[in-house]
This record gives sequence, C-alpha cells and structure tokens, in this order.
Amino acid sequence: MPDSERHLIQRAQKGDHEAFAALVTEHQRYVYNLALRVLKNEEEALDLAQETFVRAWTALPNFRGQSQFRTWLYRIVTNLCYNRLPNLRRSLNELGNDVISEIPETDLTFDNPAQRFESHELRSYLHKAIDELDENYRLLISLRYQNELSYEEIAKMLNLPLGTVKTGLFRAKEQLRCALERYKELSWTIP
Amino acid sequence: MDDSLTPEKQNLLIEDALHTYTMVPMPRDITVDVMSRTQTVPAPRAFRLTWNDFALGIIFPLCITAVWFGLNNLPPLVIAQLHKESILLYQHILVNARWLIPAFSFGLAGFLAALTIPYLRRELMK
Repeated sequence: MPDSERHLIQRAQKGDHEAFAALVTEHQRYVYNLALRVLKNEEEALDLAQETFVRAWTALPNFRGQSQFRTWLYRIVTNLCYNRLPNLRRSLNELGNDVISEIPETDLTFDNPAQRFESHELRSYLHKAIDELDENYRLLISLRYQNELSYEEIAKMLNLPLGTVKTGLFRAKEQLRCALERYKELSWTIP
Repeated sequence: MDDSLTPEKQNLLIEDALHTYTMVPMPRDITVDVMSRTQTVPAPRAFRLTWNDFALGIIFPLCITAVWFGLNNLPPLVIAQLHKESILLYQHILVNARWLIPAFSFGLAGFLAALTIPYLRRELMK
C-alpha cells in the first residue's frame, strides 16, 4: 500500500471527510466495475458502489491494513452483491474443487492482418460470452483478470477454499471454450 | 474462421479475451453523492464510549463494594447461618434436582449466544 494512501486512510479513520473523498475518487472505478460485472446493470452498480463507500466509511475503524484497501472494498462489494443476488453465495460454495489442470496463461500474437481481424472479431464475441456467464463466474473473472488478484487473494476475500476458486475459473474457461465451438459452427454454416 | 482452432489456440484466444476484458469508465463521479451520504452518518471512531458503558462501569463496582461491606459488617452468627443455608441448598440441589446445574449452565450459555450471534453475523455481513 502506498504511503500516501496509508496516510489518507489514517486521516479518514479519524473522521477526515476530505481524505475519505480522495479515497472514493481513487477507488470508485474499480468498485463500480466489479459491481457492474456482477450485477450487469449500470444504475444498480452505481448505487452499490455508493453503498460500498458509505459502509466503508462506517467500518473504517475496523480496517487494520492487513490487506490492500482496495481488496477490503471488494469484500464489501461482494457482501452487498450477496444481499442483492441471494443465489450468488450458494453458487460459489457449490463449485466444489475438483480441478486437476489449469489453462496456461500465455500471450497471443498474430502475424497477418486477416488473422488480426479475425482475432478482433473473436475477442468481441468472447467478451459478450463472458458477459453471459453466470454471476459467480463473472465475479471470479472480474477479480482475477480486471482487478488482477491472485487465486489466494480471491479465496481469502470470498472465504472460499483455493481449489474452489481454481475450479470456478476453470469452469468459466470451459464455458468460453464451448462458446468458441459454437462460434466455429456458426462460421461454418454462414457462407 | 479456419479449421485450425486447436485446443492450444482456443486457450490462447480465451486468455486474450480475459486479459482484454478491460474496465469501463465511470458514467459519472460518485464522490459527491457518497460524501453527502456520509455526512448523515457519524464520523467513524475507533473506540466509542456509550452511556451503557458508564452505567455498567458504575453499577458493577457498586455491587461488588456493597457485597464486600455487607459481608464484613454482618454479625458472625448471620454469616455462619448463611454459610450453613448455602451448603444445605447445594446439597438439596445435588440430591433432588441434579439436572438444575447443567440446565442452568446451558441455559445461560444459550442466552448469551442468542445475544451475541445475531450481532456477530451482522458484523460479518458488513
């Protein structure tokens, strides 16, 4: 955690509204995006983001700096999401932890323009497919890829076993793979 | 779309899509809204003394002091009588109502749990 942020948190913990406003300005985008990915509704996400910061303000004395401030905010976001989507917590718990392999994370490079165009099209298609995943998968993907949390951090934050987090992400990728298969079939049927 | 959508290429495409699934900008700044809402919420304080704390802080020492003075100022015969009665009561419970002590202990534990668990759940859900 940067010193400037720690200083702002300490001031906000003493009741300094200006310091807290600076923290809101700094982190609102991340909080909003996580809420948006889970709720899929702009207005609801904005409302949840506001509620997150109001709760953060009241709970600020309990923040002891053991985790990143942003991770702490994400925890509040997910708890509020649990309230709004009662099935979310249950669907996360029911993921199990039977993953034995993980898809390797590598960079993608395309040599020619046609490939690059096709890749762009596919990317848009896959982004839509991500949006259509179940809320539990969208939450995990958002935490892992948008917010760049490690598996361990996600597991700790959601109070889930590490294996469950890996299983969730693995299954989300499997669903994206199915979406790719559908795309392939579609591209064959359309001349 | 070519036929060569191998599992490796699928993995690459999926990873690429996940890594490029970027954040959207805020539709509007919510700082002002949040700050206006926090104005109505009391400023956070790490440690908050309430009137309950003061009341308990006075009542408990008063009770302890009263018992201490009472025991020190009672006539020795009354103290001996109290001692005898308490032993008789304990024996009576042991003989006629053995269930009373565990029932009282578990009841007390249940009562305290009923008082604390809802509060803890609320705090954990925050």
